[in-house]
Amino acid sequence: MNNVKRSILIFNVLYLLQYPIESYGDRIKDKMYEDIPSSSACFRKLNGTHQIGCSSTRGGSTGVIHFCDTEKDLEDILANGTGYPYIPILDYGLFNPTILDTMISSDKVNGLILYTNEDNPVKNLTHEHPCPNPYSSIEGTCKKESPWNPWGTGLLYKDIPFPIFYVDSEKDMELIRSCFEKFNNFSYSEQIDRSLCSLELKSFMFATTNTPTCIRRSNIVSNLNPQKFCDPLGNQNIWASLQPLAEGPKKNETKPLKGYKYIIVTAKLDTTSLFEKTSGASSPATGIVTLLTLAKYLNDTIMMDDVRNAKKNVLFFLFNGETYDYIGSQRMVYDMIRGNFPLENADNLDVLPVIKPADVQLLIEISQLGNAKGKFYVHHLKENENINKFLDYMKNYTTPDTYESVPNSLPPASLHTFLKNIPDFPGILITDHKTTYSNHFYNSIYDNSGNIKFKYYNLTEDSKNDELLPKESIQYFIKNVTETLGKSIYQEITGKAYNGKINADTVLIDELLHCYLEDANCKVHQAIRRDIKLPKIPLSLYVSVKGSDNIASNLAGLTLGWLTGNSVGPGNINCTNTPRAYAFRFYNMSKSLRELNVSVCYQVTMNATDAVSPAFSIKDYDWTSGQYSSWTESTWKEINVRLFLRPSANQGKITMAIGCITMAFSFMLVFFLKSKSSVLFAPLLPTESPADC
Amino acid sequence: MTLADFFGCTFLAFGPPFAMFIFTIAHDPIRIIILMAAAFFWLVALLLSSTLWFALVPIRSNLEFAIFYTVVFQEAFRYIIYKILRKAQNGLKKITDNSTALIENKHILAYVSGLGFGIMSGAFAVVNILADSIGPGTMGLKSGNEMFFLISSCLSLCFILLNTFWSVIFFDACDNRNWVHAGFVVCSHLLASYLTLLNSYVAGGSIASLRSCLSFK
Repeated sequence: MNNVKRSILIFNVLYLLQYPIESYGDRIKDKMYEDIPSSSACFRKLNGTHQIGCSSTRGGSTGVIHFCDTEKDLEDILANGTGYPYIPILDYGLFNPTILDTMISSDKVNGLILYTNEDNPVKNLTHEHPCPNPYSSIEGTCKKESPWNPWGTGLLYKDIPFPIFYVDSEKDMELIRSCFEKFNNFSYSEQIDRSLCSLELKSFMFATTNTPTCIRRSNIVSNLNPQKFCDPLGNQNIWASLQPLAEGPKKNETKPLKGYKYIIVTAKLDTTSLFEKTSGASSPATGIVTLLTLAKYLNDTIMMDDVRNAKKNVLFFLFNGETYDYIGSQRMVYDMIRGNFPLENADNLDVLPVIKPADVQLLIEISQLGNAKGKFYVHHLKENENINKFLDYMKNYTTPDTYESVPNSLPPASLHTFLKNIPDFPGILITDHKTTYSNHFYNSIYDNSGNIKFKYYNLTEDSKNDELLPKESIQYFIKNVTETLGKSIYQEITGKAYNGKINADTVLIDELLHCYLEDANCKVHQAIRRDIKLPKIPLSLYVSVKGSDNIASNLAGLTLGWLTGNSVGPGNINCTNTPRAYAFRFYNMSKSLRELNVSVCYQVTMNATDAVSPAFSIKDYDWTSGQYSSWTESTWKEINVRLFLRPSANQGKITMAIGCITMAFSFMLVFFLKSKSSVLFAPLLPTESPADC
Repeated sequence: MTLADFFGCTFLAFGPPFAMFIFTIAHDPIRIIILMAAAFFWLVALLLSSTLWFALVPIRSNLEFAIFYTVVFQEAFRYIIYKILRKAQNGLKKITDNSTALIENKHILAYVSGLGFGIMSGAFAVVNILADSIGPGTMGLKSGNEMFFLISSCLSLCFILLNTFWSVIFFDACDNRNWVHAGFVVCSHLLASYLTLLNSYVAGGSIASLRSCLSFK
C-alpha cells in the first residue's frame, strides 16, 4: 500500500515536471543563428584584365543590419550609428552607383542585402552596360548619346569590395525586419552598448585579379596543388537542322548532303543578373520561344523534297554565353572557319556536310521580343542582295504597322561576331525596339513574366485560341513574328509565296513561355523527357561554367530536337542510338502536346557543340588582346547567410573580467588552503596533544 | 568580442578546478592516476547512460527520466570507485613513498577522485557551449539571454565543485556506514540536476524562470 502511494507520488512529481518541458537534441548554435535560405549571392567573375562581382572575407563578413528606406537613412546611420560595421538592407529599386559609392567610400559597410519592395515598383533596373558587350561588338554600332540600354548602370561589371545578397522570400525579410525592430531600431547613438541584430554573409571567392592569374594559380603542374580557383564560363551551343543533313538506307549508313546553302535562325540562350538567380523573360526567353515555334512551323510547312530541290536547308542555333562577350557565337564562328562544324574535322569524317560561313545564305537572329507595341523591327548593318530579297518577302506578309526595317543599325547580338570575322556576312536581327531597348530590365532579375505581361492561358483547343488570346498579348505577337518569318523562309526556299492554311502553334507558344517563365515542370518538358521531375520554378538561364550540367540548355536542345525531328515509328525500347548513327539521334518523346501519353520514336538532327571561348584552347593566348571572350567564374566553398545577435562590447569585457577574477581568486584561495592545510584539516584523532598553536 | 566571452567563460568554469589541480594534485603521481581513473569512471557512466537513452527510443525526449537514470549511474560508479580504492589501499601503500598522508587521511582519496569525476562531467557539460560561444553571435535571437554562456559556465563550475564535495561525503558515509549521508548525496545530486531543467523555461536561468516554474506557467 505504502509502496503504491509512493510510486504515485513520484509519478505525479515527474508528470508535473514533464508537462511544460520540451527537450532539444540541437546544439546551442541552432538557437543562436537563423539561416536565410532564400538568399542568392553576387559572385566573382574574371576576364583577361579585371575582376568583377563580390566576395566576402574568408570567414564571412558580418555587420549590424539597418533597413534604409531612403538614401538619407543610409547616410544618417553611417554618420551617426555607433554599431558599425553595418550591413544596410535596401530596396533593390534604390540600388544605384551613387549609393554604392557612398557605401564603398565609407569604411563602415561590410555587406549589403537587397530585397524587393512590392509597394514601390521600379520602372527600370538594369545593371548591364549602356552598350552591352562593348568590347566585342562592332565599333560604332552603339552611340554614346543614344545607347541601346540607356538605363544601364554597368554595376554588373564593377568590382565590389563587400558581399551583396538578394533575399527573395517575404517570410525571410519579415524575420530580418522583426529582429531589426526588436534590437536595432532605436537610439542609434547608443547602439554600441547593446546586443544588435546582425547578419553573417559568407561568399568567399577563391579567384582574384584576372583570368590569366587565376589560370596560372590553378595550374597543378607549377603549384602541385589540385585546387582550382576558377572555371571558364561556357556550356553548349545547341543546333539542329530543319531537314536531315544526311541521307541513307540505314540509320548508321548515311551520306552527307553536300553543296547546300543554309538559312540560319539563331537566338541566344542565356542571361545573367547581379546574383545567382536569373529571370530572363524578354531576353532570352522570347527569342528562344520564337525560334522554337518557328522550327515547328517550318517543320510543318517545308518538306524534305522542297529542301532537296532548292538545295537549301534551315539550321537553328541556340547560342550559349552570349551575355559574356558572345562566347557561343565566337566559338561557333571559330569552328566554322576552321571546318570544325558541325563536327570536328567534319570533312574527313564524311558523316555530315562541312558548313562554312560562305555556305550561309542568310542569318536571322531573333533577339528580345517581349516589350513590343505590336510592331517588330528588322535591323541590318550592311546592304546585301540576300538581305534585300528576304526583306522584300517579309514586306509581303506584314503591314507597315507591324514591321519596320532599320538599316545601318545593329543592337548587341551574336551577329556582331559573324560580321567581325566576315565583314560582308548576310545577317538580320529581329527585335522589338528601334533605337533603344524597350526592355527596361535587361539582364536583371526583374526581367520576369511581369515585364513582358505574360499570362498563361493554358490553351487546349485550337479553334478557340484566336478568341482567347488578346491581340496585345505576347503570345499573339510571337505568333505574328513566327508566321511572318516562317512564310518568308518558305518563299526563300521554295521560291513560291506561301498560301497554305497552317498557322503558328499558339498552344506551343503559350506552353513554352510558361516553361521558361513560370514552371520548369511544364507540359513541353514532360513531352520531351517522360521521366523528368523539375521544381515549379523557372530554370536558371545563367550560362554557368564549362563542364557543368546546364539543365536549361539540355532541355532547350531536346525541345528543339522534338520540334524539328521526324517520327520514325512507335516509341519503344528499340528507339535507341545503337548502332551509333552520327547524323541522327533517336528519342522516345510524346507525339504532341495534345497527346502527351502517346510515345513516338523521333529521329532528331539536334546536336550540341562546345560553347567555350577559343581563348581557353589557344596556346599562349594574349589575354589582354580582347580578341575572344575571357570570362571565368571564381570557385567558392560555401555561400550562405545567417542572422544572429552580436553581443555588446561590454558583455565580453564583463565575462572576461568575471572569468579572470574568479581564476585569480581561486588560485590565491587554494594556495592559502594548501599552505595552511595542516592547520585547517587537522587529523581527526590527534596523536599528540597540541603544543603551542 | 566573442573571443573575450569564450576565454572569460573558460576561466570561470575551469579556473578553480585548475588551481586545485595545480596546488593539491599535480605534485603526486598517485593522485594524478586516481584523478584520471575517476574521470574515466565518469565516462563509463556517461556511456551507459547514453546507451540506455539511445535504447529507450520512445522516451528519448523525456529529460526527467533521463536525468534520473543518469544520476543513478553516476552514483553507482561513485560507489564502484569507492570500492576499488578501498580494495587498492594496500597496494597503494606499497608504491607510495609518503603513504601516510594519502592513506591515513581518507578524505584525500575521496577529494581526488571527486575532482576527477567533476572535471570530466564539467567538461562534457560546457565544451559544446564554449565551442559555440566563439561567435560571432550570442544567445538571445530566438530565445534565451545574453547571460546564457556566463550562467552555463557558472553551472558547470558548480557541478565540478559539487561532485568533489559529494565524493568526500559519500566516501565518508560509506566508511562509517552512515546511509543517511549517502542518501543525502544521491538526493542532492538528483535535486541539483533537476534544477537545471529550469533552463527550459527561460534559457539562461533567472528570477523570472524560477517564478514561472513555481507558478507552473
